[in-house]
Amino acid sequence: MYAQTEAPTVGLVLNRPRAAPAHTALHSAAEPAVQRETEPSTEAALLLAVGRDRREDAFLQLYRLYERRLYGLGLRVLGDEGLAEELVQETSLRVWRTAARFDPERGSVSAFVFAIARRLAVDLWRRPSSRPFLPELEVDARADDQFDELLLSLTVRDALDSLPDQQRQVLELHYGGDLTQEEIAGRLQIPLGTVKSRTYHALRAFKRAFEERQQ
Amino acid sequence: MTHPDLTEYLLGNAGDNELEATRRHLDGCERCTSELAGLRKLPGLVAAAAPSVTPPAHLEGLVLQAVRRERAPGRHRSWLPWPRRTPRWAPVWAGAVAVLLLAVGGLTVSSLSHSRAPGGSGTAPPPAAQTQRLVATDGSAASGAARIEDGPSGKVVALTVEGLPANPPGQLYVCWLVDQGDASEQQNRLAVGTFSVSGPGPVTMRWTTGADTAHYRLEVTLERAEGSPQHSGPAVLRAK
Repeated sequence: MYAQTEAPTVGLVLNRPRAAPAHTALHSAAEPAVQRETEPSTEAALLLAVGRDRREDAFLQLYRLYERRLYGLGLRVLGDEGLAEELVQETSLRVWRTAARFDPERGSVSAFVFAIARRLAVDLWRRPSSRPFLPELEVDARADDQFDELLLSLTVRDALDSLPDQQRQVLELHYGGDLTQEEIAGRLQIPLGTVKSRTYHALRAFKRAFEERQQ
Repeated sequence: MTHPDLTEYLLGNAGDNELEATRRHLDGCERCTSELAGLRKLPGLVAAAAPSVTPPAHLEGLVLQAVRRERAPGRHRSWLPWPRRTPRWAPVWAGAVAVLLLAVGGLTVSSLSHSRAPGGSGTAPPPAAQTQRLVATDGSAASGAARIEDGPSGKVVALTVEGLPANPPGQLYVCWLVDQGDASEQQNRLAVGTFSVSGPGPVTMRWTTGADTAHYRLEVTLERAEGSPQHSGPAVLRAK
């Protein structure tokens, strides 16, 4: 999606806060390109480990990456916390059962997971006992555009929530709350330079976190 | 070839000379033009972020339990997993043939980039289950959620409560099915079960009741542990 400037995370460790990038004005064009075409992404490595080796630790890492998004999806589409929990549980168990069918050549892990979630959400919504609950938003899980838009907003939220609080705060105040950097400095009682620096690091960290979830 | 820091450019933090150099660079650099276009989308994304949600703390444990049950030796693997309608992951073989017949005529749901969604083809509507959300009567953050579904000998009530204070010595929490006509002077309610709370974390209880739960709403009260079948203590949680 965007030009990459960092090597990908490898191994079975995910979602740990990374060190903020060095605040340099220039970067070199000679940096190695990310080889996503041949190197399986970390999420893919996790899911493959689940499917091939039935590794519970890999499953747990993967679950933690998707739990919030799946739960948020359930709340928005089904309008009930109990049903949202059920969606998370059913989707997770289905991922465990079918992980061996995952083929990174055919699509991403998130596509794999949310394809399952989407089918289950539709089925849960059709369940007669689900009807008393009005969804938080009138989102039709069967409509491609709406569903993709909802997934995008959940992915953005997940990426934001993975940032340190101070970074998330400045981004939300600046872009979500339409405050200027001067107003943020006043609100948070910190120097303007700190706001600028924090916003800079936050934007870059958010970009990375978002891209990781878009793999 | 070196490339300018586009985040600084985007934020307007660069000095005049740097700004001008960056503009000149962008005129001839496809990579940076593309990257800047990507960066410019980020503020709009942040503004459209979904509200933050926190899944209940017990959810991860439930999922892991389910996976471990799947791994247990001797467990029959359900090749049609969807007929299960409970989060308790009871393996279902009974009715599989009927579900298969329904699934043959089932609907097609488009998937994302995977053309065939993995993980099952079942689309048959599962049997009805009921969910009730309980909120604190005193406006506190305590809450509960109950799923009520058919069991082998009645309705199975799975109640999860969170945030309730520990019950004092000599007192118990009691879960009731309360009829619409229930009043303090003429009670019309059935006890479902009792439980204790030792901390703020979530606690899940399961009981079976022979009552037709469709006519009742759930309520949790704090009662003296004296053996009286009557409700006399304060209601602490009540179905919305």
